[in-house]
Amino acid sequence: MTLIPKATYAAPDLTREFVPGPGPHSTNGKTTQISDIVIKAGGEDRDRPSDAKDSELGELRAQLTTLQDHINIFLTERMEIDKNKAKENEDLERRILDDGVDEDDSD
Amino acid sequence: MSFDHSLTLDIPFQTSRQASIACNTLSPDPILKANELTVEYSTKESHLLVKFDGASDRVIRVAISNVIDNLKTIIECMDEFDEPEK
Repeated sequence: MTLIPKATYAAPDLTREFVPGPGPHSTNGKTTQISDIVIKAGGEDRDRPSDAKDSELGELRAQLTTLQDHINIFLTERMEIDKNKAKENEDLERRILDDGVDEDDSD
Repeated sequence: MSFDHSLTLDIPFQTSRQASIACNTLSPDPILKANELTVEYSTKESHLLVKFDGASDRVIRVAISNVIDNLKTIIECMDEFDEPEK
């Protein structure tokens, strides 16, 4: 029997189900290792997790790492969208205010 | 307090005892930013359920990744030291 972790996300605009998918799965997550910059500079991840054992719980740990990657990537993208929306609103506000200044100048 | 972003983790274990150990290990952790986030731990048969309700994706992102990191350590400990009850 394989133990498969799942997650369900819900926000006012969207719901989403997460499953690890077909794999292969490993305990080395993309979003949980040290940053690419440090790796490229020759850095070593001393907190690297041990490899998953060939057991039910070992497989669960690897699957959970993949699920964690999916969730982290999804939520980081959502945060980015929120940030861009906030910036757009700020730009719009600035444009409206600037237009107001232009009208004043033309008087 | 109710928040409009939520994420529920459903983690299956080999036995209800393991799910209960994981629940009891995680639940004492204090919640940072309690005014922006709630976390509920429960078990249903051999499954551990963790429900995050947050004011934003950011607070959920931080909390969930931390809880999953801790869960992976708990699972690894069980795998190394615990024998499931027959």
